Amino acid sequence: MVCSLALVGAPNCGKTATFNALTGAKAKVANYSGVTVDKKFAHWLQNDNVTIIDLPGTYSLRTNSPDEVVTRDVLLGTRSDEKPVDGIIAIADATNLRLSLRMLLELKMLGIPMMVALNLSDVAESRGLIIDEQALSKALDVPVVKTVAIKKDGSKGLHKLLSEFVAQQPKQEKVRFNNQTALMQQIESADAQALYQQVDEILSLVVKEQGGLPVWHEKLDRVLLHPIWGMFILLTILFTMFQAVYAWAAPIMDGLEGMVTVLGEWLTAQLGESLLQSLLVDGVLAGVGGVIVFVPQIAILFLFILVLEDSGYLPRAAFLLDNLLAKTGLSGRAFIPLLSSFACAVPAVLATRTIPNPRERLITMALTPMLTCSARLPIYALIIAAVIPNTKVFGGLSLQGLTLFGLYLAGIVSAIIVALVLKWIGQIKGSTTVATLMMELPTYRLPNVRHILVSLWDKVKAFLVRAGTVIFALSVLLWAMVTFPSPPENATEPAIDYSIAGKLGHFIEPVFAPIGFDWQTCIAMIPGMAAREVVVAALGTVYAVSGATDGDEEAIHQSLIPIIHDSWGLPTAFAFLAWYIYAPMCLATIATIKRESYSTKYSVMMVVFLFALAYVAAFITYRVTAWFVG
Amino acid sequence: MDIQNIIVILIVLLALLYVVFRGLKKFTTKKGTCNGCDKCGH
Repeated sequence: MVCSLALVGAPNCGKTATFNALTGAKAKVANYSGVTVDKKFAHWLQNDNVTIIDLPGTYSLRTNSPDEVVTRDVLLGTRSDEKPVDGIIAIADATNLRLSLRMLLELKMLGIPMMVALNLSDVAESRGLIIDEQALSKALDVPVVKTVAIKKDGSKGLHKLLSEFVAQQPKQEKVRFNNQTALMQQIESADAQALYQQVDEILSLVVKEQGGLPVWHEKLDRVLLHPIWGMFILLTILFTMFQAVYAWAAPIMDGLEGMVTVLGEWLTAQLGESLLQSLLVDGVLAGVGGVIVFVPQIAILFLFILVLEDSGYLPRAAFLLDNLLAKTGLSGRAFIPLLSSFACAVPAVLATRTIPNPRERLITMALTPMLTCSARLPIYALIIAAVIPNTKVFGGLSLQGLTLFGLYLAGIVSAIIVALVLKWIGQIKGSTTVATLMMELPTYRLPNVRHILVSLWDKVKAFLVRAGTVIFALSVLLWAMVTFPSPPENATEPAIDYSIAGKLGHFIEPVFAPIGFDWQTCIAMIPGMAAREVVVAALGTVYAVSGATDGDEEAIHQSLIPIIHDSWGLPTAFAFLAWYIYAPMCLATIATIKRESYSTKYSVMMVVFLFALAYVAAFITYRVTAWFVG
Repeated sequence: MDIQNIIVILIVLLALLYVVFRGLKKFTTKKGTCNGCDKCGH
């Protein structure tokens, strides 16, 4: 029997964690609302014929933000790309049953068969809150089971309920709506007062023991949400994060770099000087190996983000920054998309679906590429390691870590300035409205070690897979472009000058010469459009082949860092960093912005704008640094 | 032709095919078809 069930519930009640537990999927889970902005589907672990659909969280079926509309439309069966669902798995937050009950009563009005998972029941019990699930089942007239979705066996009871539901399916009559508009009108016209009265009646029947938040919770909030102390703590956390990225990763990075060098020497010894050796050493190892050495830094950055996310701290940071965002014409709703940009701009653009105001949504999309995504970390790390001395300043702080912190800060400040300008333009046109932030702050909890490690491994694996596929393929192609055609017999210039890439690089060099980029850098930036970290791989390949054709044996065996150190001046290095603070997003982000904004015009405008901004910033940086250096 | 050169040509051709295929897929994906498989690394 083929059937589909939708997971429905309020934001941050554990729908995606339940989805992962039921299907074995690894969709992103976090301790704040707004993580799921589109429907996801996967098959139930125990029966391939049963499809589970994870829907964005919503407090009510009366809604207007793009993500919540997805939930309503799937339930009403009005989406052309989705068949009507056969059942609902409603997830109720046991720690906040009042909020969930209103949604459960609205869902009951649809008449679709439903079961309720009372999630976070362990947290509720730890606070002394006792809920009688049988009484709740009786009051709602649907099966109810307690779950702890993030724990290994926490969804056993739900699996059992699901088995019973599937067994009854052949006898079950399908619910199909003939007049969805009338049904929505009925839900929207329901008396809110009467609904809450019903909620109170049910609560009095099912809540056996009232719990409360622990005292430390409130005390911690008083400090972390304090306008001065809270901001100080936020900056300290971010500062520590960037220091750790350098301090903790260094030994592992040195080890990886050593391994890449040894492997290159071994391959050269085995294959001798040949075309295959050049492809493997100058193309693949210099390219892919050059990127892989940055895995430890990326892992440390994600470890910090995951711990902050799981502990419940991040939404508090959103609350702290709401006032600042409001001054730029954005609401606190823009914080989660902007925060996601530090990992990757693609999910950040998708996350803008939680913003109901179309203008604010477009502005947030335009700002996301300015915040430093993890793909830019290898670029920053490479240039910093090459030109910034590894010394301690201000009583033991790493100068390299400080520079990295400064680069992230430069992205944030630039985004604020651009938002202010767009707000000013909006004011002239008379089209600004700032919505107030309505966000439920999740409870603090100790980060779940299993969840953190699994998520961290997923992130690292995704990076390694990209290194082994896209970066590998682009390194091979770039190697071919810098190697062929071979120079003529009476060649007087270095061999690479006769190659396709050499000619192309020399052709575009005049455009980038005013910002200090040589033709090798221009060539490396082209494949870098596919994914930013590819620039590092491309620089590795271009310089390795350049070194080989120049006959510079030392350069061939050197890693990229000393090559950059020796061949780039400080003005070029700083201009390159400035370029990559604003450099146009990767192709994946451009495609996502085009899809999400429903407009080719806006996506082209954003790309042109960022190109111009990057060029101007790099030009100023190059000239100012050159003036200082002399 | 030397066997090593044939291997080089094959690797370059495969890389070219992969990049073209990935590029086409990225730009022709319809809205709302992401089922969260995480294969894209996001």
